Amino acid sequence: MPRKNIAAWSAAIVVFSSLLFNTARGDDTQSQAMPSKQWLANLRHEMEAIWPDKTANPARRSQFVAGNNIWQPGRKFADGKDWLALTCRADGCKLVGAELKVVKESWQGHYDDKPTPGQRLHFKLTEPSDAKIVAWFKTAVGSESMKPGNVPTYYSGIGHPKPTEKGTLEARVDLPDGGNATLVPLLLSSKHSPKLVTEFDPSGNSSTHFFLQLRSQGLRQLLPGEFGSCSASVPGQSYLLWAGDLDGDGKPDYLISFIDEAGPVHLYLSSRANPGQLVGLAAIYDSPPSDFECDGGDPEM
Amino acid sequence: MIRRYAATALALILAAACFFNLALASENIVQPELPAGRPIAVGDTGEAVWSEGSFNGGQRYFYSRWNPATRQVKKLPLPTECLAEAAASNKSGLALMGQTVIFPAQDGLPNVFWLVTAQDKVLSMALPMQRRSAHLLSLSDGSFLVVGGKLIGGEQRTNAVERISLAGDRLLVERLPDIPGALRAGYTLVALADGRVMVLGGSTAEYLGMEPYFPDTFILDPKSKAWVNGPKMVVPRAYASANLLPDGRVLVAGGWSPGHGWNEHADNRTEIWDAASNSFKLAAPMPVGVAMHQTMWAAGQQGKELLLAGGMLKAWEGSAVVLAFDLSSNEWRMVGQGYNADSHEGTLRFGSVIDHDKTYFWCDTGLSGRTFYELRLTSDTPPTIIGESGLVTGRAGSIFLPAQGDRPALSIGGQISGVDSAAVDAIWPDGRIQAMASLNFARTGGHGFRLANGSVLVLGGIDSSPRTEPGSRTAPQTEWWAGGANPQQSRWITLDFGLESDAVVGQMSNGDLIVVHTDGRVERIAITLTHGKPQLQAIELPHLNRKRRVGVANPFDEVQVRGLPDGRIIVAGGDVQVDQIALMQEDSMRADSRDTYIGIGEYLPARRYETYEPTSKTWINSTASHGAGGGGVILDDGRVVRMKRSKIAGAQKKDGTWPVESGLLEVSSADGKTWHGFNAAEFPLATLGDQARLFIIDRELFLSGQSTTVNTGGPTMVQWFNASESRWQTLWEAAPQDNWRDHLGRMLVRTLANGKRVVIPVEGY
Repeated sequence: MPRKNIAAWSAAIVVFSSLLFNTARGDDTQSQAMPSKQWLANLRHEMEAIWPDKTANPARRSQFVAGNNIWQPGRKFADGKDWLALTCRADGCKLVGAELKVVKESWQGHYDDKPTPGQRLHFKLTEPSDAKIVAWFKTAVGSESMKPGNVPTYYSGIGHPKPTEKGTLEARVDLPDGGNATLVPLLLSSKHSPKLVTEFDPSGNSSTHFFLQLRSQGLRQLLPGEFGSCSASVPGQSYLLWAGDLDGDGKPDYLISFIDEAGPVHLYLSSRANPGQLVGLAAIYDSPPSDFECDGGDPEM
Repeated sequence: MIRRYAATALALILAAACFFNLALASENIVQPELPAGRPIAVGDTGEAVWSEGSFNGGQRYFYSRWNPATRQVKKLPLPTECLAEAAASNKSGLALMGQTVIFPAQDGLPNVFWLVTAQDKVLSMALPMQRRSAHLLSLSDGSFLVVGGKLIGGEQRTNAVERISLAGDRLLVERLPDIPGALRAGYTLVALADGRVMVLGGSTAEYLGMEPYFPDTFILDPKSKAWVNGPKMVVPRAYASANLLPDGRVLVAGGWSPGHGWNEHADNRTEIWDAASNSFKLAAPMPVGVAMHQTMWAAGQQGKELLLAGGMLKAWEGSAVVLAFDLSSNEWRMVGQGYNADSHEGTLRFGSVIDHDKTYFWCDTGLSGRTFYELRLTSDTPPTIIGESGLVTGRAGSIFLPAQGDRPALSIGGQISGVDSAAVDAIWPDGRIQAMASLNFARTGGHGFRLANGSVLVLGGIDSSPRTEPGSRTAPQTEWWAGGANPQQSRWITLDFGLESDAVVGQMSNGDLIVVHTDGRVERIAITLTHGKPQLQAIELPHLNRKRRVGVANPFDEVQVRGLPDGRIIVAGGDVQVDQIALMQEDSMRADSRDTYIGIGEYLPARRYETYEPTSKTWINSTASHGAGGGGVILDDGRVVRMKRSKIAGAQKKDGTWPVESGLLEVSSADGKTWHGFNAAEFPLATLGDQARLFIIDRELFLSGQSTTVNTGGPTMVQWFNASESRWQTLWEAAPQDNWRDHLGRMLVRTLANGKRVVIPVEGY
């Protein structure tokens, strides 16, 4: 895997990107009968659309934060009490009021000539709690407005997700209707599927990709996002941060981490799903840049 | 009295260090005491001759004859003070070549040739040509050749040849034509049956063991005083040996050859020149490659057993093995071995003597003392019997095949001084041992199996010889030995069946083999015997649930594979690749498509084993054992005994000791659904440390490990689990002062309390 320039990476994060989920595809993007060439090409377009250097729709990248006392490039956050913390205990999760304090701070990237201007974010609960804080949300995530109170939760982020029968990296989420959803990491490698790799990336620049597929209700949906972009490894089942009904439509939503030294956390809401899909990408949180040199190579298969 | 001596003279100025195990030594035979750094010549009967000095006043220089029959040394005076550099002998007598000693030492002193006749008359003459490190070759007509070396006053090599003859009471010297071609070193000389002399190979490199190596040979006819080109050897080589065989053929062995660098070992290939065809053909390989060695016929075995000893295994690793070429079978055997040789020129002064029909090897390094022990020659009867201390093969990582009925246990291959060997020893439960014909391919590790007809199959392992492809994961080729009543008479046959070096092999009760590959593939190798010879056919079985391989943190955490009588197959131990991921495929978006999984990520010590159920054709995981890692064994009924190794747990204590977390022995139920502690009245005394090993011989469970009192760095204790008393009983323990090398490849013969007589490798298998 080619080395990524940290400076370029952090600079790219400064520029907010578009999250127009349907910019490059039709509504039947991942229908079951679709030839592989089409669904892989569409996946690539989706991935390109959310790459940090995309400039459109920057607000989608400032609507939730996973972590506290962290640095973010640019000036996209402001002091305010319009935040909610998703706090979880073993018996459930709820949204509680939170306040954000922002301090200007620059970050000197290892390869940067000049420090990158940014902000350090300090979140604080309006009422003290020792519950686990999964993420901090703006009270309005896109068009969905959220209110304090209990949140139907199917996986709280406490303890390991339920395993599946064979794939050790897979996570099963039991749903209240008796059904379940399964998150299945998929390996796309030139060793095992050279043709598919070429279809996904005709440039031939990369030979290994780790994607995540959501399976439920007889549907399969490839989620835009990629694991291991730096280390070429999948972080066990810890990518699943939370699952529950955040948007209140009775269907499961997911908070998925693709952080690999640096990288995003994605919020998938069922209310954003297109026809034939289970969820749609609603918001992205980009983790702070890392000093880590991204030298990850293809894993030994 | 006329004494005939082997043509091979031992021009041995610097002696090799060799520390041989003395377990087989006869206490009643005395070997000669040799002065340090003096060349010796050894005759057909084992008689050794050398020169030596005395500084006690009076006559200061002697030549000495050691008679192996009387074990007496006869000393006779030399008329001049002689610092011999080379020695040789033939029907004319003992020849010494060197310089007259003058004090203080002076440069440019003439080379002197002394001849001690059979009548103990000493003749000498100054040689016209001044050189050192020359070869001294005795010819069948009683003359001697002085060949090559370096010119005194410089470092320039010379190809010059002088011939010295005895004419009445006078020595005559004449210059013969130089060896044709470039000035070189490391060539080998041999006197042919027809009186001619052959020069073989050599190198023009400035330093020992460096390329180029030449396959060229040249033949000198002393009568016509002319050289002709000889045939090329199959292998270009230098510092090899060449010996005239009774039928006129010449056996060329070992040496450095192309591809041998600083870290690669010497060549183990041999070839034979046949006078009729005037060509070389490859012959049986030696058990281990060696260069710069010496050869001589075993005492009383002229033309039957050629001994090869001394020399270098690698450029920096001296050899401490004794090899024998048995002319009756045309096979090499490793007939004696030590464990530490550190010579830098490979020279060794050695000989052999016979006592009560047994052949003994003696070796005098001049630097590190003397060694004396019994050889395991084919021709010796009765065979060697090992005592309580057993046999030390000197080889680590050998394949061990337990004895079965009247079929001996076999110790096959293994490393000696870090070099893979092809040696094979047979050990019977009654204590008899014999060196068997060597494998065609040296190997360390691997697997040995006895087939239904008593023949033996050897697969896998590693051969790090320079002729293997760099980075190759392919093990040496599979070999087969037909067995039979007399293991001396049959040889190993190479089969056309390859295997990766890291594949693990087990056996079904019908003799079929199960091969587990590191990529999770499993094959059943059906073996059919056609005219007694096995035909191997692979049948694919379902992949393991998890890829499995030998432990990364501890190579003693091996993978065990065993077929059970009911057709089940168990694969246990080693490290497993814990994670599995589904592959993205063309139909991965179809809701009804089935996933294909592969292993991914790091390997961790296994807690579960897998059982192949032949009815469902699936691999079933056992439940996880309490401890992870460690070795284990699979019992006849399918239960798995495994060992969690003891380990250091925490920081060093104030008293300098380290806290140790104890090991654990567990046993599974036959269905793999439960584990419980091993039921014994007491914990084994052998610690379950890094090198501990459980193993089974004749349905009995053994444990090799370190005792709590003796820590030599290797296994120091062997215990047997006495099932009737539920106790571990100690069968052998090293002495506190022992070094781990004292027990490399040690084989024991013991009678267990239940009456079974077993051959046990101390390091387990």
